[in-house]
Amino acid sequence: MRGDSVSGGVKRIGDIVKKKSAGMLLYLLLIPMFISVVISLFSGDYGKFLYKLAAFAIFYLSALAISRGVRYGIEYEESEIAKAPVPYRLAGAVLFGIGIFTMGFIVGRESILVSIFVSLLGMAGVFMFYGVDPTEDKLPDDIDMDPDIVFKSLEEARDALEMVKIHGREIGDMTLRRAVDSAVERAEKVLKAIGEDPGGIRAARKFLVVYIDGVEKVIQKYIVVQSHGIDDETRERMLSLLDEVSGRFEKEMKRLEEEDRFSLDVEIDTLREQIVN
Amino acid sequence: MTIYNGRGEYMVVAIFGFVFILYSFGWAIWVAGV
Repeated sequence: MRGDSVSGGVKRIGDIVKKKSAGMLLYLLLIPMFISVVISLFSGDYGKFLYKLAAFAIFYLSALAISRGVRYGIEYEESEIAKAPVPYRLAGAVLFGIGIFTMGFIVGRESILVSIFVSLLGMAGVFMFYGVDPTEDKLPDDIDMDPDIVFKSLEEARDALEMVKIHGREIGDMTLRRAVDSAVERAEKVLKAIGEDPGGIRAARKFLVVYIDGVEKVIQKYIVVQSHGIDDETRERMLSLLDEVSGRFEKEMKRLEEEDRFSLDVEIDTLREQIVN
Repeated sequence: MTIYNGRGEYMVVAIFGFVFILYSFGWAIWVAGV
């Protein structure tokens, strides 16, 4: 299990591409849909135009939901510990079906049976192409902590980091903003490593709760003070604090890697002993 | 249960899904007309 995380840490290029381009097909389909809407507008058929516009909106929401669902699905798969995500793919598939039905039955005046049939076909297509949402929480068996606490710690840390990112953009000083970005990048790596291998979460809890939260609070205060003007000394102190935080995150990552290496060593030794005996 | 896990496994299912999506969408655009 801990040995798995060594290979799990290697990111496959296909996954990155898939994550970034999730739902691309549906976004591409919006182009002919858009053209169809525009043609209806210019041909003066306003009733049709409005229905098509509604269908366009439904397809757009469907593409949004499905791409989010695929992204969550990949994150779920990559993590060793994860709550079952909100079934966005299901929502997207249903919206897709509703869109097809609107276009066929209301705009195209096809029979209701044919419209339902093709809608169901499209919905099935979405599930077959994009997959089904996972429904079960994923928990490793070798964890010695209450899973709810683990979920909560990880979730809180992710939320706090998200806030750091959002507030970091409000910092006017470019050097500081870059320092925040680099700290965030390192923290994300640690969070990802913990998500993939939560064995070390007990030791990392301080990192999760104290540091990320602390940075969040400092940045928030800084933004408030920033509007009244910041003196050089405060700026310097802030910069050195961010450097320290970055260093701490880096150290945390090293510690986790060290742990992985250690557990690999243990596995090797155990197996060797078994072979010898 | 994951029929298609987004990593290229179960390609046949995915290809059928792709065809179904394209067919239903194409049908919708076609019957809606201009």
